[in-house]
Amino acid sequence: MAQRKKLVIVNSRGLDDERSSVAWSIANTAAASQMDVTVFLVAAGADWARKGAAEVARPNPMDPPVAQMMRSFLGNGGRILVCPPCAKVRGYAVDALIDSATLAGAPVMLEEIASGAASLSF
Amino acid sequence: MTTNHPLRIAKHWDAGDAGCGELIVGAKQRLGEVHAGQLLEIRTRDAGAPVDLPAWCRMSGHELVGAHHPVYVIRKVNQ
Repeated sequence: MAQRKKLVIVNSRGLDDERSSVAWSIANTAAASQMDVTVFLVAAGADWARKGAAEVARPNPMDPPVAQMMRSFLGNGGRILVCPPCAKVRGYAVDALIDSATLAGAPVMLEEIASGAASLSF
Repeated sequence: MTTNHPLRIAKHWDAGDAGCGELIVGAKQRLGEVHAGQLLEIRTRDAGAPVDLPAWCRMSGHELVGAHHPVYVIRKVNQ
């Protein structure tokens, strides 16, 4: 069986930015395409990991709801990392985040890239 | 205050709230101030440190000797 391709998606776009819906759509598609995908949420993108946030934000009404895309992404093995300083500046402790998100900074994301992952940034 | 660690620590760094890039750059700088084989102890409140410091050690080749948040001990490995 061919080795699965790896992809890192860095998303800095928040709840009011249509580009974050693009990021989640691509992440969701990649996870459903036999790729090992890591989404690294930074800056305003960290808001997507806040409990309840994805349920009330839909920056592009022509895309599926982001909450739905996130569930599908995770169900297909996707991983969500949240930059700790970006979470902290927003007042998010670990219990403010969805259970499936991990507080992890650049080293974890960079290790994926160092091991051959492609990367996209939003 | 340092932990009662059986190993001899060459350098201590209280990183406070430093996280992500700041934590890693600071660790690299302080490892540059010790000799190969010596130990650096880092104390950090960063919530990402439990995964970030092991990942950085794997990439950089330094040995993570101990990891019990908030205290981490790294042995400098000659590059």
